Amino acid sequence: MTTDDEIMSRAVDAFQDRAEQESAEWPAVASGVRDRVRRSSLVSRSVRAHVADLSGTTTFTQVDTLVVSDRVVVDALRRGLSGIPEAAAETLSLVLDGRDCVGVRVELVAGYGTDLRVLGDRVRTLVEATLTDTLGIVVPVDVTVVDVVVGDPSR
Amino acid sequence: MRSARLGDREAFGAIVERHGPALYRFVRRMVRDHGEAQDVVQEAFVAAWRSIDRFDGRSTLSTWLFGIASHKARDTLRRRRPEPMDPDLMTRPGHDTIDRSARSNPEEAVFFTELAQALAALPDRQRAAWLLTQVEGLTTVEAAEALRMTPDAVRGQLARARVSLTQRLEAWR
Repeated sequence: MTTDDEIMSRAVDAFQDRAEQESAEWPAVASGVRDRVRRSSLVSRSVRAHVADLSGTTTFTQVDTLVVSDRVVVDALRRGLSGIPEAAAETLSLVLDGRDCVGVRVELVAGYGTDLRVLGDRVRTLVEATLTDTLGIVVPVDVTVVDVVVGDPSR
Repeated sequence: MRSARLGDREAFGAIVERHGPALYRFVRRMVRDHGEAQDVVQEAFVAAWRSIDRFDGRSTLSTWLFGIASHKARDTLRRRRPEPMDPDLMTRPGHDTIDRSARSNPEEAVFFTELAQALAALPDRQRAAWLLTQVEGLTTVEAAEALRMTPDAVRGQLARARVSLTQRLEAWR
């Protein structure tokens, strides 16, 4: 006589034995998922860019307006920070006043043994350079190290 | 994971590759239709992509993704038009479209077909709780987080599922 436990155990084994077969359908599903994600835009906010006139003075554009999605700026910051192996960004956000960027908040996870003051300065310099490239401005950058981990901080 | 939270599509792609097969298997068993399962998994990953910046790490990423997939799968099942229950469902051997073991082990194939039918006859929450804990290896607490229930409620669903399944598989004793 087979017990309830044995029936249940057989049922679980039956599903687990078929996991490989079922996973064989995954590659076709995965390509659909990748397509859908690629076409999905994330919620974003518009940020006004500043341009330098011919005299080199940075000002708001008077006639034409250049607006950049905050996602574009955050992507640029993320790519830049990925070049610093001893830290990984946990949070990257623009502080907005209406459409004007008035600050940047960066939260970092740092690798154990990293000189945090040097790291903070390096990140601040990189963020300022990226902001200048993308929005034509320099704003206060608030860098916070939220964790220190042993090994690769990007993991 | 950190990069994905900051909007890195490539990093999110790695999450899709890692967790997708298990999510697909689970959803496939929930909705029992390849096309619908494909849609549900796509919707689940798009929802995850759009809200990953709000993932707070209180549960594992896997549990969080199973939760989204489970919610989408149950939405799909609710939207289906009610169909009359086939009176022979529990006794007639059916055809599981992805079972390829029938030739090598016919008895096991029939058992699996009847098991799949018995599972399909369970209420959605019981089926989800059983699949998540027994097949996908989530703990009761993780399944509770994924299904937005208490652990005690999950234990109750599992107990009822077990009774129903063993009754419906009585012929295999």
